Amino acid sequence: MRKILKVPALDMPSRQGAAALPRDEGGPVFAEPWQAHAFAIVMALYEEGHYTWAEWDDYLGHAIDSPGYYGPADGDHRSRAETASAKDAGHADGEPVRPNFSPWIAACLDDGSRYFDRWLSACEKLLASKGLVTEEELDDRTAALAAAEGAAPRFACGDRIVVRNIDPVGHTHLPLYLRGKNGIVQRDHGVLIVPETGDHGGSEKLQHVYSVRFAAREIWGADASDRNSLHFNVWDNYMDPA
Amino acid sequence: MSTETHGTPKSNTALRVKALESLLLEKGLIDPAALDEVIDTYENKIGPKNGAKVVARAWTDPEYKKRLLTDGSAAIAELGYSGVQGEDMVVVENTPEVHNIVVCTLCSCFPWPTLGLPPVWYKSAPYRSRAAIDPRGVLREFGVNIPEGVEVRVWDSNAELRYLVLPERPPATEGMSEAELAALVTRDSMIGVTKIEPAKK
Repeated sequence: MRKILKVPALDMPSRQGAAALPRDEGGPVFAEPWQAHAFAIVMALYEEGHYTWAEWDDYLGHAIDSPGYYGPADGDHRSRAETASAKDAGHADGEPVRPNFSPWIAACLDDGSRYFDRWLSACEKLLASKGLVTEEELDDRTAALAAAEGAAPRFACGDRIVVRNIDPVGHTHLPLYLRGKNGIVQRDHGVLIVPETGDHGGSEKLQHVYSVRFAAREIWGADASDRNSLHFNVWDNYMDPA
Repeated sequence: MSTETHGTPKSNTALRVKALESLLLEKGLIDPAALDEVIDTYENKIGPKNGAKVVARAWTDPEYKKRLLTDGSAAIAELGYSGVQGEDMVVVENTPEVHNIVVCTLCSCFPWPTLGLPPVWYKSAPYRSRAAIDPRGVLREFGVNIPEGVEVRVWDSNAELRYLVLPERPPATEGMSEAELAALVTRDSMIGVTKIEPAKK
């Protein structure tokens, strides 16, 4: 059976205790959650023994030595470096502005701010070389995520919906007994892979999935208890506004 | 409600990380709990406060300082700090005659267990290229003027060996406890790009 994938949210784990930073310098370790996740992916796979530290070091060193290897083109780098004021560069990375801030340090911060782009680039190349994740897989999944996340959710908590009377081809997560039934959206689970796609070799589709509450009587008829309800996870394309 | 931020444009890079993580999860190669633990560790548990404790101990315990300068890794491990990117540590001491500054010209090697992840500027091409050639100039950018008579030593870190600078203990700190001293120690001073300011009264 194909696994139904939950697309991870790039959340930060809850803080346990105060950050171990002396004085007020340093700022946050990661400027954005994706940097933390890119970092953790490399560390977790290393700890699982998928590559040696020396192998990782080779890839990272190569990515760092080749500015423009990943991310914006070289021209962009230069114009950003030239235009970035010390203040902006400092804030962009959570690095506190220093009273003795020099334009040279601003240029350092600007260049250093692309470190995790290069880190990610090195990670992608290493994983591809190890056969763990290919570039094509990653491109496809990124495109699928972009399409899904670009679309705002159609439903909000409390919305009344009716399940469409459709007959999806192949494997589906829509049971017959729910078709045509009315329910109320309880929660948006975010974006998941649509169960009907993915087995066909094409790029996967992703859609919002909602937890929908159906009254037992709505599904099973007047004999059911009016105190019972069923909560079912319904993909966006299974339902219409009621 | 969902923890996702819907409808807001995401940077392509963030999406790519998300896509990568989802593929690795799907293949069973990573465990979300392990990722959270890594992030929590580097965000909250290791950082320059560890290095500051090493420095304060060395300032107050001459025997410890001797061990620290002879075998950095072992002396640092005495305080419980070891692990990835901190296996082999060398501690270099700043004195009125010698100022030490650390760089990784080839990459971004840094003593994670004692100083945490490197600061943004440390990983940048301008710092990595200039610190080796013009350390006094770099120090001036950080607001530190090293007199001509003082020797400046640049230490290039690599994947095998990493450096921690033992800064000079600032004046007027004689009566302070180890914990109070540790609070004076800055990350940048342990990289060697700044000195520690005298204690404020």
